[in-house]
Amino acid sequence: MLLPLMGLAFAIIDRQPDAFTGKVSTIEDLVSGAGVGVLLLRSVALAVSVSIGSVLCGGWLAWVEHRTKVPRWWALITLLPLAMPSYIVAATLRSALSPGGWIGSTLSLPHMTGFGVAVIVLTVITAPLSQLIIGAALRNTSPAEEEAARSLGASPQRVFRTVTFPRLRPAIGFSGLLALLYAISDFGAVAVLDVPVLTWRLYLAVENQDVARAAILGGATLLATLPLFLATRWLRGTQIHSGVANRRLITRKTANPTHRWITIAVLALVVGVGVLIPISTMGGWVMDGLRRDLSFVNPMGALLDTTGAALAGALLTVLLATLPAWAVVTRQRKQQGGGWLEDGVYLTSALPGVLLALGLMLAALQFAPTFGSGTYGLLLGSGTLLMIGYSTRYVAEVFAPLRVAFQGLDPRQIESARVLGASPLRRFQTVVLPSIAPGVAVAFVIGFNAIVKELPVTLLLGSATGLRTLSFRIWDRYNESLWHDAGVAGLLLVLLAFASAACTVRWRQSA
Amino acid sequence: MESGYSAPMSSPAANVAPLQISAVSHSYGETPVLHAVDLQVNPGEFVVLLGPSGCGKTTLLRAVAGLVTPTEGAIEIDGRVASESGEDRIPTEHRGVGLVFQEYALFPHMNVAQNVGYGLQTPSPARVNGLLELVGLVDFAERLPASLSGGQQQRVALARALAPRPSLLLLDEPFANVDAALRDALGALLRRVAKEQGASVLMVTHDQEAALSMADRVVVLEPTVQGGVVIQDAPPITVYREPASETVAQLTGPCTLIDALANGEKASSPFGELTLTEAKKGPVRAMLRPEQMQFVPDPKGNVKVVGHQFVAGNHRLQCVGPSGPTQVLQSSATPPPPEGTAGRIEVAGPAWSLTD
Repeated sequence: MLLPLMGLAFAIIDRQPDAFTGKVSTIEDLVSGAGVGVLLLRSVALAVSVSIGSVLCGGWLAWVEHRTKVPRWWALITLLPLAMPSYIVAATLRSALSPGGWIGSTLSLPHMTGFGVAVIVLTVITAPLSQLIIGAALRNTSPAEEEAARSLGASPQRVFRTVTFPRLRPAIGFSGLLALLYAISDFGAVAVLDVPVLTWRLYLAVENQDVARAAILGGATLLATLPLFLATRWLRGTQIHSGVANRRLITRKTANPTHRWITIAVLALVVGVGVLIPISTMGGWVMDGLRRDLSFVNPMGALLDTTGAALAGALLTVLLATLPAWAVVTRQRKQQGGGWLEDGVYLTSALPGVLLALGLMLAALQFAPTFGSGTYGLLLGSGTLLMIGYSTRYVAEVFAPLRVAFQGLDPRQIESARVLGASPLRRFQTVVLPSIAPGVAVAFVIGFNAIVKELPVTLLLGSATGLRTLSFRIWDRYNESLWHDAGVAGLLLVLLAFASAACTVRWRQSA
Repeated sequence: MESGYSAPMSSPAANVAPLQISAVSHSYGETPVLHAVDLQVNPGEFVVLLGPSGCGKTTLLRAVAGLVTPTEGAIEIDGRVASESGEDRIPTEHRGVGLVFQEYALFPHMNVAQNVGYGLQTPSPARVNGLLELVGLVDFAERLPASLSGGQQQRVALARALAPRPSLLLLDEPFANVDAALRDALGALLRRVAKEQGASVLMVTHDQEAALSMADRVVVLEPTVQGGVVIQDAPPITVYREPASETVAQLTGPCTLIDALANGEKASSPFGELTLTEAKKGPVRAMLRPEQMQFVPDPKGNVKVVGHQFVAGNHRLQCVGPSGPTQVLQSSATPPPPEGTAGRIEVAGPAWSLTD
C-alpha cells in the first residue's frame, strides 16, 4: 500500500523538467494548468448523483424484498448487476441509447450526455450493494418495535419516521458512502463514455507519459477518495442494537399495488440496464458482424490469457491477504486490537485502480534503477508489476472471506489434536485445512472474479506484458469501433464473471 | 521403545504417581495466577481441583497438558519430568494425557467415530466401538457433532480423550454446559468410565456439589495477590466438615460462622454452649452447617425466621440471628414455622473452629 503512495509522493516532489521547454513547472502551475478544480468538482457531482440514486433504488428494493409480498426471485435477480463490469454496461447502454441504437431509435430519445449515462450506469451497478446493506439492517429490525409504536397510537407514517428510519440510518449512510467511493474511483464507465473526471483524465495523462500532470491528478484523486474511505471505516461499526428481547424473524408483509408499479420500474431499470441491455446489445453486435460477414479475431487466446492472469493474480492475492487475516484474527482473539492492520488492508483496495497502477509505475521508476538499468522494463514486461497491481487492488476483497474462515478455526480444536498426540503436519491436515478450505476457496474465486473484470490496472500495467486479456480486447476493439469482436469478448467475459460468481454463491451456502 | 517419550500411552509401574506437581508458579506477564502449587494424583485416584473463578485452576490444568508453560516449578507425568523451571521438557503431543475441554472442542467436520479414533496411533474400529458402547453412543457413530445434544457431545469428548488409554485424564469444568439433571448422570458415568479404563482423573470445577460428590480427594485453590494457592488438600468429608479457612467453608456449601469464647472443648456462643472438635482457649470462630442446627420456637429466643424454601425434600429456613443470616435445615415431616417466628438455635454434635 505504501509503495504506490511513495511513488506518487516522489513524483510530485522530484519534478522532471519539461521535455520541450526544459523548465521545471511549479505545483501551482500544474494545479491550474491541469484544471484540477473543475475535474474534482465534476467527479464529486457524479459521485453524489450516483450515491443518491443508488440509495433510493437499492433502499427501495431492500424494502420491497423484506417488507412486501413480492416473489423472492425479484429480489435475487437485482443482484445480478454486481457481476457486471462497469465498462461493458456503459458501452452497451450508450450504444443502445444513441440515436441509431435500438432503444434510442424506437423511443426517439434526445441525445444524452456522457455524464448522464455514467450516472445511470454507476447507479445501476452500485444499487445491489445498497440493497444488500440496507436489507441486512432491515432484517435486523424486529417487527415488534414497529408494533409497539403502532400500539402506542402512531400512524404508519409516524412509525416509519420515528422508529424504522432511525434504525436504518447507519446502513443508509454506509451504503451511500460506499456508492460515493465506488463512483469517484470508477474508471471503466467514465472512460468508455469519455466523461472528463479525475480518473479518466489521470489515465490519459499516464498514457501520454505526462508524469507531472499525472502525479498532480493522482494527488487530487487521493484527496477526493481518502476522506470518503476514512468515513466508511468510521461508520462501519455504527449499528443500533435491538431493544427487543426475543427477536422474531418473521415480519408481516404487505401487498400494495402502488408499491408494485414502482418496484417494477426500479427492477426494469436495474436489471434492464445492468444485465439485459448489455447482453442483448453485445449479442446484436455479434449477429451484425456475422450478417455482414466480418472477420472475427479468435477469442480463445484472450480467454486463456484472462483465465491465466486471473488464476495467478487470485493466488497471489490470497497469499498476500493470508498473513494480515491471520494476524488480525489472532490479535482479536487475544484482544490486542489489530484494527489498524485491517484499516491498512482496506485502504489499499480503496485506492482507485488508475491511481494504484500509476503509483506502482512511479515507485518502480524511482526504485528499480538502483538494481540495474533494465530492471524497470523487466518488472513491467514480465508481468510482475501487473500481478502486484492485481493483488494490492483486491487484497481487501479476498481478506474478508479469509478472515471469516480463520475466525471459524477454534484454537481449542487444535489444542485437542495436540493433546491427542497429533504432529504439527497432522494437525494442519486434519484440523486446520478442513476448517479453512471452503473459506479460502471462496476468497480465491472472489479474487478471480474481480481480476477477470478489472480494466485500468490491466491496461496500464499489462500492456507491456504481451498478455491480451478479454478486458483488454474489449477496450481495444471498442475504441476501434470493431463492435463484433468487442461483443464476442464481452459475452465471454460476462459468462466467466457469472460462472465464478455462481461458484461463490454455492460455496458460501455450503460453508 | 526408541526414545524416552515415545511410549506415553503405556501404563507405568503401578506405584508411580500419574501426576506430581511441585512448587508450580505462573504469571501472565505481570499478573500472577498460581503460587507455589503442590499437587499429587495417585494411581486410580479421582482428584477435584475446586476454586472460585479466577483462582488459576484452568491454567494449572493447561500447564499439565503442556498448553501453558509454568514460569516456575516442576510437573512430572508418570514419573517423567514434563516441564521444569519455565521450560517444557515434553511437548503436549507426547505427554499422553487425556483432556476434555469445557467447550468439548470436537472436530466439526469428522463424525463421532472419527473424532473418537483421532488419537489412536493405529486405527482400531474395535477400540472406538468399545468406547462408544461405554458412553452409550454406538448408534451415533456416523453422526456429525453438530447434530448431537450438549450431553452427547460431552460423552464423545470423553471417549475421544480416553481412546489412547491415557493414565491421566484432565477435565476442565465438565458440567459448565449441561443442566443439573444431566450433571449427576454424567458425573456417575465419568467416574465409572475412568475407573474402568484405569485412568486417574484431575477435574477442575467451581461447582461444590459436583466436587464433593465425585472426588476421592479435593484440592482447594484460593486466589491471593500472589496468585492461586492450595489452601486445603483433603477428602471431601474433611473439606466439608473441617474447612481450612472461611473461604473454603463458604466454597463447600452453606454455613454459619459465629464468634465464640473457647475454654477447652467447650465454648460459649450466642447459640448457647458448643462442643468443639478440638480443645481451644480464647476467642474462636465456630462453623456450623445447616444440618447441625435445629430451630426451636421460643418467644425469648435471639433468632427470627425471615423465610423458607422447600429444597430436595427439606425445608431450608432462612433466619437472622446474632451472627447475621443463618441457614437451618428442617425435615419436611413437620411444617416450617411461619415468617417472623422467634426462636433459638440448638446445635447437635461438635462444631469446627476455624484457625485464622
